[in-house]
Amino acid sequence: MNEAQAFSSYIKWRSGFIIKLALSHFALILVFDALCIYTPGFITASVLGNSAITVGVVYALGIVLSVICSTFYYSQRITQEEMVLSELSITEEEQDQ
Amino acid sequence: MKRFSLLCAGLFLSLSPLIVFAEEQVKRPVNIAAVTTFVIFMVLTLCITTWAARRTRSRHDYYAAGGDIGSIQNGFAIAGDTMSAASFLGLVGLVYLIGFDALYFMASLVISWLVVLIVIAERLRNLGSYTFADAISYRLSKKPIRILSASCALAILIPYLLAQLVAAGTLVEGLFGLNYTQGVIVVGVLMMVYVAFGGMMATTWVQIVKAVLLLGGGSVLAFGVLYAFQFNPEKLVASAVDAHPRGRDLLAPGGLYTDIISVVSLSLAFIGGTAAMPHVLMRFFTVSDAVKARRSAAIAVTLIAYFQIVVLIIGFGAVVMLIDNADYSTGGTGVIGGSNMVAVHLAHYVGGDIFMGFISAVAFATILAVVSGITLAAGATVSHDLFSNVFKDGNCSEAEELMISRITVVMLGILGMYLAVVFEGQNVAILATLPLAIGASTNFPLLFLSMYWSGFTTRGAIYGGYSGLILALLLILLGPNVWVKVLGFEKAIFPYTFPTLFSMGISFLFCWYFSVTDKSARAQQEKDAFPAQLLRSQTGK
Repeated sequence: MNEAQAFSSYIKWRSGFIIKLALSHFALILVFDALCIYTPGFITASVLGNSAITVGVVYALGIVLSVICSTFYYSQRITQEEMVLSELSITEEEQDQ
Repeated sequence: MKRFSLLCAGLFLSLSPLIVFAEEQVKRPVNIAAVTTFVIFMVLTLCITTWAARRTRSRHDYYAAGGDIGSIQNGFAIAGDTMSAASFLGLVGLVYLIGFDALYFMASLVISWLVVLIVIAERLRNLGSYTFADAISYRLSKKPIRILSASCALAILIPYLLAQLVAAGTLVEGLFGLNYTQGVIVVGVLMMVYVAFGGMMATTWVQIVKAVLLLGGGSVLAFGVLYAFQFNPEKLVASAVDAHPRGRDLLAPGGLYTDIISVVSLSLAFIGGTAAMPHVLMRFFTVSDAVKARRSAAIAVTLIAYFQIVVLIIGFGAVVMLIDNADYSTGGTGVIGGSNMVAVHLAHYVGGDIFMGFISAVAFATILAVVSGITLAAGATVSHDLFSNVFKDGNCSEAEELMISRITVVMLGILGMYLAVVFEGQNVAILATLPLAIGASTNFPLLFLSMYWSGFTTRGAIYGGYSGLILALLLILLGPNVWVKVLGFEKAIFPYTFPTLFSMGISFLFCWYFSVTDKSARAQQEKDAFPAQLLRSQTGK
């Protein structure tokens, strides 16, 4: 695969990656909104037996943690892909010379 | 030397209300720790401004700090912009009063920053120079798009600035013993000094100092709360449920909103609105490349997410420690000075007068740092987008553009202070909902479609942008915040606080429809230019 093809496939992969990540979190918040309005009993249920902490609180904290994890994953993954791309670019330049 | 003298004059002007206050202090309670912390903050930030003013020579220095800000610093500055007084004092108060429904705000705010990181940050950095209008107008017709972007930006920034100044005036009455007008003058003068002399460099470092203080102060407060409950979150939540008049309903949705349209509109307003704030977007131009923009957004997301957890702990802690506490409570969930004072009272409960003074000063510094960013963005919008690129067709010298920007900053500062004094005692909830609703209904669709959709045209942007702006303004006017609370009618014509579901939906729909039906030669050129824009947005070349 040459540099142009690699770049093109990287752009395609990255767009898909962004869309999946954004839509999954958008879905998370919409589901949260819907559960809160339509199933308040579920949202106020205890997570474990008589625990004071409810499903709703855990769900909201889950969103926050998911955002933090996605942030690290996204940054690490994109950096990794860009390194592969730049290595390919250097190799091609060396071959040209 | 001349600049130093001007800065000293700024210091004197901003301190003058404090000098007047010193003469009046016999009449009012003074928290020495609060005044001391704030004066230290003020002196430190004015020193930063003096240093930044020496480094600010060109337009690039003034708008974008010369691109010299590192990703960690920028991450803190972005987080600082988001951690405003509303999201600290306001959200803690909301958890204390309502409980669960505050989680709608927190979850949406955090997700909005993920959207900024993955969808906006890098492409914006690669396409723009100083304002977000640079990115939107990259392949679209420059003049109409810049006029539209500037209209939307000013419609967001001016109410936001006013809301912050009114909040500053109100806050100081409870915190420093100053009167309302003196508080507004202190914030207004300092804001003008930071921005007019130090530009983006000073604004960024003021924001960084404040973000560190706020994160540190908030963390210590949360630590104090957790310590009281042996670091057992379950014990904290159970005690909050027992202490609150709502009992178990403290953890049930429905305290504020009971219908799906309100809740989804709120989520969309926070997700789209936060991701489209001009003063925050401008920060991505202060780093040298897209990789740093990505890193700074990632750092900001992490800090903001962490801060939301801190706010939640403080809110629940306040429920247990303040309700029915005769020193702070006025009965039930009422607290002395209103719900915005909950975090400050809790600081007093946890750490006494000195810690309360520190948190009070940090809250005031928070407003000061945020208004500086807003004013700089408004100045850049007027000078760069309107004056230089619309009125002068791009034929404008750097010196001329900078002069216009500084004049705008001073005029906006004076206008803001005047309006804040006029609005004293008025309900400013409207001013807080407007920026988010307008941002989500105009800037967000325009930015997103211009960067991601090849079929987007100037015609679509104009129809979509203006329809979103007008509809958002109209529905807010007819909604409960203005129609009932300001104009005094019995029932709102539009029943929802946030109009975003409708205005953002219409904006996207019009952008799409008027773009696909645009068969003009110019539209074809704009569509053909998308691959080059895509390459530039991905690589910066």
